Amino acid sequence: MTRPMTRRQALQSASLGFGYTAFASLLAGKPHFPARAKNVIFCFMPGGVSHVDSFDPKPKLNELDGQSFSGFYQVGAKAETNRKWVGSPWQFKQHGQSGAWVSDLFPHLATCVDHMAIVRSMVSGFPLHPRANLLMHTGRNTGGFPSLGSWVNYALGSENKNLPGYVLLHAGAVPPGGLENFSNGFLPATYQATAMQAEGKPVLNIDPADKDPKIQRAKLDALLQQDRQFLSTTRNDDAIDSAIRNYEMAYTMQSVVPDVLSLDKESPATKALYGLEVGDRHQRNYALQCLRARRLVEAGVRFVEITCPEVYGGDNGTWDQHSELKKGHEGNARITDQPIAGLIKDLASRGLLKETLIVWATEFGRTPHAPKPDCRDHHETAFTIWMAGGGIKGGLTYGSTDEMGMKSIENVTEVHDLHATILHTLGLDHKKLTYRFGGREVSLTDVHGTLIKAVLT
Amino acid sequence: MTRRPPSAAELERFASLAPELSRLHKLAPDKLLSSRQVWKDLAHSLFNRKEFLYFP
Repeated sequence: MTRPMTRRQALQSASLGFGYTAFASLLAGKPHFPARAKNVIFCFMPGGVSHVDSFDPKPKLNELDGQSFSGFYQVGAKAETNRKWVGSPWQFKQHGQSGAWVSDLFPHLATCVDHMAIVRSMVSGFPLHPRANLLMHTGRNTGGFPSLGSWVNYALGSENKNLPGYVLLHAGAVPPGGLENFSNGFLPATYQATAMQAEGKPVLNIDPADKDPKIQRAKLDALLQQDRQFLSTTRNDDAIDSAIRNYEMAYTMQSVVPDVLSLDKESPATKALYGLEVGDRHQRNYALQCLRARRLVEAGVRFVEITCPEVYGGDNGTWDQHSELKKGHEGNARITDQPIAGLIKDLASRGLLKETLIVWATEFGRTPHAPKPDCRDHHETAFTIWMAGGGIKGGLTYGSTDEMGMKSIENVTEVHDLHATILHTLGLDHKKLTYRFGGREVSLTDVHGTLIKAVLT
Repeated sequence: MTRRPPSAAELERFASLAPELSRLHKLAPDKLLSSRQVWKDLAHSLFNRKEFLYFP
């Protein structure tokens, strides 16, 4: 097993056929054990945030700044020589009661460390963006597998029958690995992410073409009858079933989404907390998406991912600073720091942080050495992520890297471990959450995954 | 296209939808056959069918 019974199985066995949409929320899957978190907000930092410049200070690296790196480094066909250690251009300080170290890059997040469990000992195994992104999102380094959000949506469903269970808040950029990062893979198509963009209409094509709702409903009813009839001739083909339900979901979203995403009722103080009315367009967009994330989880959306705008780093993720490290990392930090800190504080003040898990993660770290100053390359043997909120012990720093930040050496944590831990906070056993595909029970973590028990409450 | 003739149920469905749309558009009964809007609505509903879009 799997889940006790999927909604699909329950509904099919009850011979309700298609018309179960209205009952979907009532039949949402139950957790395997009591959950600490009800929702997840995943703040993904594409491109590779430098661990030695953010949450993992390395005084020795600063000492050796500019001196030759004698180790081996190879990403392409040829090993690179003549690399030098690169010290961090940012100062680190201890913050909060926990005394967690955070660099000057994140002055706002630094005020939230007592909510955060910082995991400094991550490893990925894949030093290239597409594979590392897919691993972080789907537990596999190739496409075709369900994303974390899809697994959660499949397991628990949406708490709101008028909203999807998995929403992607983006600003136009798709991280390397493409839309496979947000795919349902082999799970039923209805569990894929629903994208909402920062600028313009959040959901494309959501406005009804018919001004008179009665005309729209008459047309949709006729269409629904036709489609139900067709579905019955295809042995309830999943793609058709999901497409029909997507139409109906789109119909309900037409009335619900504008209200859920409206900021009219948000106070000036709340908007200021997120930095919604300061900074440039990119920061405002990111702040907008963070505030929307809070509103979406309040409305019952189970899993929300927020991705960064592609401002720096070419098209490989905005944190991908192979050059202009200082400019790029400072720019990205400025865009994301205050909005995420605002999100944590806003959730905490509303009593929602204890039931909302916030995950801040990137696909890998950046090299402590480089062929030139002010740059760092991909580094999969050590990087940092953090979690806060539901089920997570705040004020904790877990794991460590060696004195130069080259390798994770204590409590080495794999991406599968992170996934297992995220599912655990939601009351899900990663070994039991499976779906039969290709003749076997397949899970997010495959044969891997060990809970990071130290970070759990 | 479906390469099949409409079923009796489908004919009945669209035969009743057309006057309903005409009524919702507040058209006189004799304007139904010449109403661009009604036939546009019918085509909109017809061509969005999953049967036209999916080939399992």
